[in-house]
Amino acid sequence: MPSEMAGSLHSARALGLPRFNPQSAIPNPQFQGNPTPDSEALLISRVTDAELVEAARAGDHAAFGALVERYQHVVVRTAAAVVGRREEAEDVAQEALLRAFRGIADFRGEASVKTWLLTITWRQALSHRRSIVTHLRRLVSTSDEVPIDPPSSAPRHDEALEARDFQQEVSRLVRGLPAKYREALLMAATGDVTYEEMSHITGVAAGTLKWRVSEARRQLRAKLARRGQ
Amino acid sequence: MTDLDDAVRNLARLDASSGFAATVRARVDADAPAAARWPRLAVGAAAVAAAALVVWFVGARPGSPIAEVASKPTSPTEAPQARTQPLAADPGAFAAVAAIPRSSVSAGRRARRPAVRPPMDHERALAALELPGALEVPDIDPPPLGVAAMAIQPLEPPSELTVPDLPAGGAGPGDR
Repeated sequence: MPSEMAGSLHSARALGLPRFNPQSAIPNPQFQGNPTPDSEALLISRVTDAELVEAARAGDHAAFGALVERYQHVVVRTAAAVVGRREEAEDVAQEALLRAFRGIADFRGEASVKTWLLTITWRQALSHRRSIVTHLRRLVSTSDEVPIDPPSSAPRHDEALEARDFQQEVSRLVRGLPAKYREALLMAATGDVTYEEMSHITGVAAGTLKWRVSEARRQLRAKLARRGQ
Repeated sequence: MTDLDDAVRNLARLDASSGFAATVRARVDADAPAAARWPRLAVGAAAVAAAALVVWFVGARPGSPIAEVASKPTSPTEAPQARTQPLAADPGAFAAVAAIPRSSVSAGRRARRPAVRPPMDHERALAALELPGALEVPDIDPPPLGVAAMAIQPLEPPSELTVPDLPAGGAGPGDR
């Protein structure tokens, strides 16, 4: 992750964006001086979310960019758990992050920055899924939902094909689950959030979410068993 | 961890594309802060208000296009000269129009429009119909319900009552 962060900082620099200075947020004297890209990424990784939020509130766009770098994957995964498709999930994630930037002055720190960002993303994704434009777009679109990466551990060609078929079958069955089961299952499967965080994000009790995940797995196993897999 | 859990995890662990963060940062940088958006909104609102004021002043000036429109008669029964005479040439008419609230030109038109329909006179309207007297309802009280039934089939009282002769002081059939 630090190397990705450094690379994106360089790309932000190429775009001419204002740069976040992590040395202003860390009073540690050992980090003073001209930082190299690696040390800069290391510095940013040591800056807390609260410090980045404070800097972003003060108008530092690069500080908010560092937050984006830190949580971009989990934000996109949360959006994908609701909307399904990668393109739509990234659109929703962009809108959610922009909304978070506009409302960063309202962040009171009662929850973690991650939970706050994911709550905004969750609501944005639900709103996106309910919009009539989304329904119309899905009517005319024929592309598949979340692209599937086949497991790389398959040593032989036929096993890889079999794993790919199984993955596609699971993908199709997951899409056929009721929304509340599918969302809980996919969010829990990311491994990025705990059930308590999921409860805060979705407004559903943690016990209910655990039951939904269990029920989703039970239904998937039953359907796979009926297909002889 | 079963194969099913692996497959679900492969579905769920979706990474953002490589240019995602840069795109978000560019949009954040291009997005004006709220403090910068409010002055633009205020300038826009002031421009709209100024344009409305200009239209209002121009419309209130004698001889302006709006006043000309307001001076045109709306009814074809009005005199032709009233249609062609400018409003400014007649100070009395201009004063009458100026007395009309400026908030609504249509209100002024309604005020100058002659009443086409006279007020309704119900008695005259009924007299014009020349209704026959058959419609007059006679002042007769309806009979009570039971009395009406008796009037249809009156009961005839018996001419004389016949009472069977009973043995005086004798024992009846039940006296044992």
